[in-house]
Amino acid sequence: MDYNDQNQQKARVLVSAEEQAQIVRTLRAWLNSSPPVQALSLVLDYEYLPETRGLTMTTSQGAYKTAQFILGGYRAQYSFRIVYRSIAEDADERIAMDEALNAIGAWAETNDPPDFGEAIRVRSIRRADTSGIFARYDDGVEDHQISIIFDYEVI
Amino acid sequence: MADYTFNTPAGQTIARELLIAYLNTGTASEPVWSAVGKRVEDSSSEYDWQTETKKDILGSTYGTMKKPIVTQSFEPCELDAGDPAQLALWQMGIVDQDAQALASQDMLIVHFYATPSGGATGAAFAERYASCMIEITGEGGEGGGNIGMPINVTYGGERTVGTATRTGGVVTFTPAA
Repeated sequence: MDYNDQNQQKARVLVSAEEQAQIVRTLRAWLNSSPPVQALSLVLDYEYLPETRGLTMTTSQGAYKTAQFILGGYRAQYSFRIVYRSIAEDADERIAMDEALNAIGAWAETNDPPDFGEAIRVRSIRRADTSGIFARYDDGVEDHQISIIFDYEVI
Repeated sequence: MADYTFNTPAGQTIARELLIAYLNTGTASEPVWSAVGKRVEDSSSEYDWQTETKKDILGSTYGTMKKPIVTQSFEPCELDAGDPAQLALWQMGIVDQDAQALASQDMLIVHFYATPSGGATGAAFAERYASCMIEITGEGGEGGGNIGMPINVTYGGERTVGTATRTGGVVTFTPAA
């Protein structure tokens, strides 16, 4: 049994609701300031998408501790998705939707992370995958998404 | 020696972070106790009682023990500029390779979960080992990861028991009368 298997067998310990809310608010504001989001002329919402066009951030898994340190601190992870909804009439428009989300993910990976205050130290913000379609509706509306993982420590 | 009681609620297990080892990064007369084990997920002290057992001619078994040799490993101990204990050990071990200094380090183990019976609130059982051997077993790590500097500690030298208090991150040790 390797280290990851052992970790998965442990019960997940969630961080406090206040901490998760702080993370979501800070990440959302930071992403809204990014050029790839602004290029879409959309505001990144949270857990909400309009009927035909919008951009939202949605929690994949509540922030949970991935390691507990002997001095009392911990390492934690918050996974979220960015979903881009738009009408795509051909392949080019679908590719453009993926391109936009991949650009957001790349920006998040390579730019200075936001300031979460003294308690939270950023370890990494990285893409868990590349953008792809996950829903198509009758009226030509499509949802594309990208998954992002935020790793941090509270020490 | 004083009797101690656990100061945590009955029926509840005791959190690991209530047992902390400190390295003296100050002087013997004016110690500065810096916690050891930042970002370490699992570390336990090992007690070697040097036991021997023998069976006599009547078939009865007897055992002997000596006072324990206490050792503890800390791994991976990722380097961090905000960790004064690590910085002191790195200077001694990596820069100076000062074996003599590494073999005579002043350390304190504080059991924050144990309070002297009838003693002052906030004072916890503590053991000071005046001459501990700290072996730096390596320095490095995988690509894309962090630099680790694991250590093995053998608690040694004169053992002084007493109590410790922690105020705003500052730990103060008081030997037992």
